[in-house]
Amino acid sequence: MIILDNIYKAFNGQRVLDGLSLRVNKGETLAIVGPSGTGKSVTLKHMLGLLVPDSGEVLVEGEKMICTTGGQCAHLRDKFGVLFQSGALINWLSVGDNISLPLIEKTKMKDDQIAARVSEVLSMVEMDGAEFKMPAEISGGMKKRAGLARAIVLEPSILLYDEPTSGLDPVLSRKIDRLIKNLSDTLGVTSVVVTHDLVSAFSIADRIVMLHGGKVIEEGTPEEFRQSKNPTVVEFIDAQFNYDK
Amino acid sequence: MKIYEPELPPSSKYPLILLGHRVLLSMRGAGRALLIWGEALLYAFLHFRRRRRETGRQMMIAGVKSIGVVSIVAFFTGMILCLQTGLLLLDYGQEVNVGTVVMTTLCREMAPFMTALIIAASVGSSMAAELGTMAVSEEISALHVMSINPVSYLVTPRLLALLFMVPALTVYANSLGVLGGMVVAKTQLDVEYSAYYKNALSNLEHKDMYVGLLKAVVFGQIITIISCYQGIITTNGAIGVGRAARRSVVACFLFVLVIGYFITRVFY
Ligand SMILES: Nc1ncnc2c1ncn2[C@@H]1O[C@H](COP(=O)(O)OP(=O)(O)OP(=O)(O)O)[C@@H](O)[C@H]1O
Ligand SMILES: [Mg+2]
Repeated sequence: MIILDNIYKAFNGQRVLDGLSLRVNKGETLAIVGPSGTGKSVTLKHMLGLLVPDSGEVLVEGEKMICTTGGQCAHLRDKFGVLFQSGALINWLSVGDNISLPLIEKTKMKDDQIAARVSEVLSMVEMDGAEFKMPAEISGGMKKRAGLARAIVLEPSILLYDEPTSGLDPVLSRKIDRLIKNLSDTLGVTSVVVTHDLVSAFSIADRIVMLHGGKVIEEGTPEEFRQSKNPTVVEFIDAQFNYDK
Repeated sequence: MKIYEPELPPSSKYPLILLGHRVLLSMRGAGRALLIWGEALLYAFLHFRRRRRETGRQMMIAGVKSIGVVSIVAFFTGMILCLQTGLLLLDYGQEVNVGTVVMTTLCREMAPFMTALIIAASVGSSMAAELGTMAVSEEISALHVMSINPVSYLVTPRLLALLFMVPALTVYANSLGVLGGMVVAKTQLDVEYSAYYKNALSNLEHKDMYVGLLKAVVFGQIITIISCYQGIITTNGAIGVGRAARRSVVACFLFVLVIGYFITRVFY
């Protein structure tokens, strides 16, 4: 369970989060949608303690997430698996080494177990046999999927996805959607999915929130979200589904 | 490693306040860089086994790949040194002593200094650019999230690599410089190889070697810490990466120069 309580955050005087409050319940899949540059990625980084709010607080499973001087947050971060918007693969490691990195650093698994686990998660993201490719040689979509594989390799209890399907073709996007849904259904992980893609938001999310101007302006189940009267939300939905409006 | 958010640039129209803010920021930066140094040394003991492979890779990058340029610079420095001082000594009929001059100068000062500048410009700037690129493309954030300490994973191997490689290259540069001098002594000053060689070694003191090596070690640490720190705090995309590389080279040059002077001052 993650709670963001009344978060304010400004960069160089430019306010990005403006009293954002958000709650992610255990086991649910929450989709965060919103236009570019409203602070969706910034919101995720607050959940991870990578950014420190100017005011307000972040609670993960009832504990305050404080990673600056005097705070202990490693045990909280270990619950998370994160897919960054750019994939964030370590550039000089092959795809396989990138995925085995958390296994080598955080577990005592043997080499052959690690190799087996790596090929298992690679096949989950449809990248069988890509172990030895370097990040610079693969496409943006493959980087993203390799990042996804790295995020799930330790079977975390909370998964954060920053635009998992952007840059992927529609067929692959739906496959990734199914993967996300599967992970949350079978393993019961809590997921937060940041996306522009309303098709995937509607199909995987238990709840959708829309950010605009650094605040949550709409929140509800996919059905409630579709029925929303909020003009910004209506415009956002129309832009994706109703061509002529 | 703690999370360091980028600092606000000073925004005031009073020059004194601006200056004060600048000074404060640099002091804070220096403090953080020192903390990273301490942490990197700590992890050098705690995580040594785990970082062996990466340390080896960094030694390859820092040492083996700089050998070419170090060789050329060292050889020619030795030649220049020998020619300049040799011509002066010739006026006093003392050209046999050119070996001592070349050896002592290289050993005490020139070899560590030269090597440090070459390493700062090539290896240091690439460290800053590499870590800077990682910082702006969220790779360092990814390490934080995986609870892999970026200092242990990134800085420690580089620190260890330069800890060994700068002294090694310094010794190499020293030897090659003396050889360069030897060639010039023979061809331009008519000093026999054996006379030059004997003269060079006979007046070499242990202290000269130790102080030269100490300098090399200190310079290696300075270069790694400045470059890695500049890389880690990079923001602002490609522009920021370029600035990190430039700043790291400038800062390394200044510190190598100033600290080099003080080490000499203390020992002689
Ligand atoms: N480290 C930072 N320093 C300064 N400004 C930042 C930083 N991170 C984010 N911002 C600013 O915060 C705003 C929101 O950024 P964010 O990346 O959260 O957008 P987003 O909602 O994820 O957009 P997109 O859908 O394009 O990814 C942007 O205007 C950006 O310039
Ligand atoms: Mg984003």
